[in-house]
Amino acid sequence: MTERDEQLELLTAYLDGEASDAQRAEVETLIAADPDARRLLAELRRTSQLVAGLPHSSAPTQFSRRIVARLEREALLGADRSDERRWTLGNWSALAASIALVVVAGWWVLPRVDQLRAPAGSREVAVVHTQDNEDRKDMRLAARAPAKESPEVATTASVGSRNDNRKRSGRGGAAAPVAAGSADKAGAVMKSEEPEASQLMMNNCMSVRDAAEIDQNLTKGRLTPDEIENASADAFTNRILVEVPSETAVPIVSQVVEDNFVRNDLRCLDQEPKDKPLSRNQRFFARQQIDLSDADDNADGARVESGVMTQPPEVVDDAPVRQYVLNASRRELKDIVAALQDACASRGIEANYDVNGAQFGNSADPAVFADNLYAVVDWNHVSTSSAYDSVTFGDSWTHDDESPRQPAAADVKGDASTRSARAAGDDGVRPGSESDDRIAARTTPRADGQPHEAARPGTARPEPGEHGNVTSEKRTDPAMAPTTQPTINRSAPTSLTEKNEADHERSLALIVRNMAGDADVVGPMPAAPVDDAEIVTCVVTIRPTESRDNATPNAAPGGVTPTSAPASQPTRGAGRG
Amino acid sequence: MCGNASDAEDLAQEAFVRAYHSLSKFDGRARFYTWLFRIAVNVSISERRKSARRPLKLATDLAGADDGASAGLAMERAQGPQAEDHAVRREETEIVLAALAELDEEQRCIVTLRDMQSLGYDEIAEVMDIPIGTVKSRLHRARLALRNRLGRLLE
Repeated sequence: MTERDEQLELLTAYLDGEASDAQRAEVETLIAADPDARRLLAELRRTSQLVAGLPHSSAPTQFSRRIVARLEREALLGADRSDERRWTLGNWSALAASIALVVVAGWWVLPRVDQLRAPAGSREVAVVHTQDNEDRKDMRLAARAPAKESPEVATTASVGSRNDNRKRSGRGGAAAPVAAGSADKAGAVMKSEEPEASQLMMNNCMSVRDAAEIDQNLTKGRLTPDEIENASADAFTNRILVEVPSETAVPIVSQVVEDNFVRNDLRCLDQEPKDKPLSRNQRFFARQQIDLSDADDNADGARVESGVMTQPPEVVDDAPVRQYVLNASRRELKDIVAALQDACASRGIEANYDVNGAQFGNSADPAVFADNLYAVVDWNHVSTSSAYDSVTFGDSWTHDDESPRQPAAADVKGDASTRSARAAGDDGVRPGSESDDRIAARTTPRADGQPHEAARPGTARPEPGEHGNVTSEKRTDPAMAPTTQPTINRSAPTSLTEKNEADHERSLALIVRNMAGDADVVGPMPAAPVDDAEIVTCVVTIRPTESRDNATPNAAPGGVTPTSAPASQPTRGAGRG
Repeated sequence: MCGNASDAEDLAQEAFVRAYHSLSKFDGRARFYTWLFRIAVNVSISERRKSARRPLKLATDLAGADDGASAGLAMERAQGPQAEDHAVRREETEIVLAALAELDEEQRCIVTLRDMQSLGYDEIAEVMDIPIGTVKSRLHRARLALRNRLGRLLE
């Protein structure tokens, strides 16, 4: 670089007020004597002004919400690395705008993000029926246990002791050995159940509110264990019905819905192979159009099994009703309804909404239905809880063949010994009459850390490739039991607070016992937090009002086939909207 | 400035998420926003490299641009005596964006940080992890390159 170049380079620093006193004096001398330098300085100043005058982009109004939702989702489900793989659309041209967004949005995103940063302890959800982790489990649970047990905790503890005795006297072969050491400690069984309950909660995405309601139904005799068994997860699938005045409004409103799906980055399954296994924690949507005049014909409809859509629907182009089956978070469902309200209101479309029985119009606050959204309850999954005996919670995700990932239902497989044990022990026991040794098997860790052999028979999840044709009857066939035992270590961070985690565990412990036939066990249910990041299954139906006579609101829509109809519909949402 | 608002949002979102996950690594030695900028810059550079084969195009019809006068479609719809001014400004914007698009990544980054984000040289040095002397020389070269491309706008 020549001396002249060095002098000219000082012009930029001078222009920006970044030159030292000596440099400033040097520049001023230069421009006073050199017209070329003076002209260059003016051009550089103008250049800088032109760039500075370029338009800036503000963060969209939903920006912080999307970030918080993504973080919540990652916290609840584990990091989804596929997000990063999808990140090929970004380009350098977004640098300036992204920086601007960072600046604009940072002021109000970060304080909210702090709310997600739960203490390290609260990110360990627990469970761990393996020997290696026994000490760690006890340590965590002890750390989380209240200093002085509340009445409900005491109730749970005493019940746990009772169960412990039953387990000890359980009949031989099928019963799993009780973990030496832990079983001798007071409350040890309670501890071993609570983590499992928490595990079930996490894997079934079931909120405490749902759990509480189900438990209350059981207690009050409104829902028998058999009814629960017969009620497939589909019975708890959210149903959002939008009625618009005319057929012409259906495609308009549908477009709003689909735009919302795209904005929320939901994966469209229309082009996916029908037999591709889906887990409940995958976020997706599929569309279908239904001719309600032929509502009995479900041949082309979507199939939802245990909260998982196993068969995408066919599309009938000229059908007057559109329907979407989706897995999304509660927050996203609320967004969809809010977007529909806005869109309909702005277009003068008088739409009526029905969310699991809560009915309202365009002007209603979406909060009126927020609590009416159900989480999926996968009863089959619950009943095969022993499949999770070797699941551990650690500091990081690991998996046999793929990491990180959510150990979704389709991932769970049993080994050959478990399979044969299940087959041998298949006595047709239903959840409501489960034998004590089976309870012990499901709720007590083995000393050797190996899977329990007294797994409940015949209720295992279908193999991934079997989703498309699996029926509830097939699921009760021992031959369909999983073939390998999971070896999944995972950290299941959650956005729930530590207190809520404890509530979850207590609730699920109660639910599990009630399902197992301990009807005498009733404990006060904790407050019911609703986690908007939970992934739930939903059917969104958009139809003209004139088609109302052809279908009953909130009945299983023509295109969606529950795997097994509930003997009596659980009381869902009534009076809560 | 960015013709692709959705990419910009993606980048910003990714920057925030990475920042959130890396908060424990923030030791307070750098200013927080400098640290955040650095993450955003790294994300942007990384993504740009992944899509290096695609030509860069900076469009003017930014959705949600704050500066209504330079938001292309809005200007086209402008009525009355201000319409001509709007058209001129839009043309200016397009020329500047085109000139920026022709800069290399480092130059564009440094100009953006300085002229659009008003960062000081020391902050730019932190964000880009380069010495201040390099900031000065690189910024000067970037502005010279821009000046050569802006031509008549500088007259």
